[in-house]
Amino acid sequence: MIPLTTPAVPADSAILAALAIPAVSDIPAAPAGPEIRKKIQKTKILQLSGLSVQFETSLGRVQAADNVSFEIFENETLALVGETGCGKSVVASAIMQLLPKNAKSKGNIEFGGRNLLDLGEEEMAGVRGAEIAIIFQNPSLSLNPVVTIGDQIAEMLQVHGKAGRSQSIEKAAGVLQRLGLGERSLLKMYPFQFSGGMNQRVMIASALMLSPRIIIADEPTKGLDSATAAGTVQEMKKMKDLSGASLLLITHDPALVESIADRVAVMYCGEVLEIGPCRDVFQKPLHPYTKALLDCLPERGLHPIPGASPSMTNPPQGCKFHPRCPMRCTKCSQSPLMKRMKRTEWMTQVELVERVERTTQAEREERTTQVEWVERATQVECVERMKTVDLGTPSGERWVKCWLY
Amino acid sequence: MLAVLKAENVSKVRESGIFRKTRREIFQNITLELEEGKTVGLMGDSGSGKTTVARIMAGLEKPSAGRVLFQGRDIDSLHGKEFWDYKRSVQMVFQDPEGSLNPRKSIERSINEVLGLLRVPKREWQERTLDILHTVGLSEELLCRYPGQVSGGQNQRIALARVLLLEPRVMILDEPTSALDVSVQAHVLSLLRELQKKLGLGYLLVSHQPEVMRNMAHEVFVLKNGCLVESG
Repeated sequence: MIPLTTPAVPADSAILAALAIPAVSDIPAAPAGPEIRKKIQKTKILQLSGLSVQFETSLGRVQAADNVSFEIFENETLALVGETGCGKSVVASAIMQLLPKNAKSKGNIEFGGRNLLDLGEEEMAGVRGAEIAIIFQNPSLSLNPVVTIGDQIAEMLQVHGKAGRSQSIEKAAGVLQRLGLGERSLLKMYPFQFSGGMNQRVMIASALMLSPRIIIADEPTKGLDSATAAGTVQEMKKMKDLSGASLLLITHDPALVESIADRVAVMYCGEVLEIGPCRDVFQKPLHPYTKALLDCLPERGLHPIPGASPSMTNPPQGCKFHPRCPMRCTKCSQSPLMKRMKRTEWMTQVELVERVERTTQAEREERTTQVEWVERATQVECVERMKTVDLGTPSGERWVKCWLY
Repeated sequence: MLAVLKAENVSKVRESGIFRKTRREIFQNITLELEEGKTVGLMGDSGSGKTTVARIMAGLEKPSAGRVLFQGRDIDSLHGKEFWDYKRSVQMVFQDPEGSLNPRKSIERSINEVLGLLRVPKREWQERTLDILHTVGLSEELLCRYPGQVSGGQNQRIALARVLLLEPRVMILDEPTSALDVSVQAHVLSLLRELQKKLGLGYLLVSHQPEVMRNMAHEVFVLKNGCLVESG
């Protein structure tokens, strides 16, 4: 297969020097606008490093999350995208420590200077709701059908001992009003008298009650029709602006992500394959899986990913996507490492991959030398173009886990 | 060309209440034509009556006014073999894939049930089953499983396989992918497109996603406030 990865950094600078083209680092960066400055000041509030979750089931050991690492910064929206069963919700449950008893978790979830995995049940109860809140998938099922809406939202304050009953119901009414459910009579109604979209707003309201620092939204638009889903997205945006909290959005719908998230992490079979700023990832997906997932969208031509998701009990060796990957090579049977990509680097690499993709597998194997040539040409071209084209402000780091890069 | 299935000036009124009847007009004067090899899209908000239109065309509900024609004949006047012909040629695929299969029957039994109804000799069952599974792109190891043990996309394909055994000419697809993931949705929709090319099926596709329509439909109707607003 082609040595796409081999001439990475040293060859790059050597070629550029030989061609008397300024190295990438010499090109003046885009002027640092207020946006950048704001981003530099951002602090991490939650950091997952090497989180692995295993389930012991009758069918065998299921590795639901495998070495998942990412961080959430203050006041940002991070979306966790992937197909059903790839372990997105498991990550959410692990953060909240709501995993079932047959689960074993390893790694580190650092929040406020503590590892959440080490906390006891009582300490964790203080974190849940107050510092990290979660909005579950099915709003109608997550609410208690025999307790009124007002009492259910107010319960958050009472349980955490922040206010009495009447005071907390007052506050609940205030939060609901901000979300567009202003009528007082609604507080005395029951969840089954509300529509799906209204119930979703009730869930959002109860998540907001204690002004948490992180809100986890687990598939907030699942089961809602498109008009209600669009409304919910608006609510989520409003909610984030109101509370100043960070949002971890878990979804399988890339269209939703595009409209709301700042950064995206793409998950497949329990692993995070790519993390990066939303705009960049959607414009130029690096990992073949991200590309395939985006190509499934109707507006991008409805191209299905060949094959089926692998079983979680017996995942493929090495890169878990390689049996379905159109760009696979012999190296893919070993596990790739997460690699940080510089902006200039991924711009060149993406073009290269796109060119190589156009040739078939057989052709690729034959023309190794030609590909090398293409690689050099692309790098030069790209650097040339970068001098003229304004790339916009970089909005975050990009990480990818693939042998191509 | 004579349309296979045509709804002519169909209206639907729902009445509710026991003593004091309240009437609610869901839609009125809808005319739709389904031809072989063509996809007609039907869009609208939830509650606009898309599904009711689909059910009326499939003969599952009676319209309050207007009629549904199968090859130029009112479906109410069909009897005996003609009625059987209509029932067989017009098939419906529902939104919830798991709900359309019996959870207590294995996939194989669900498929065999259809073959039994078609009076296919038992010795051909296995061959036909494998054949149809191949058409919808499933492997035979699924046969011994139950609907709860396979994924949503696979269930939807099994539902499709059951329908295809009847060799329909027109299929009414009521939001076939709204309960599925984007990747699975792409699988199911591209399968439907392939089947259309291969078998010349006509589709009435009910969906609320404009992007899906753009990719699938030859002609799109939008149902709004009980009226049809046509677009290309």
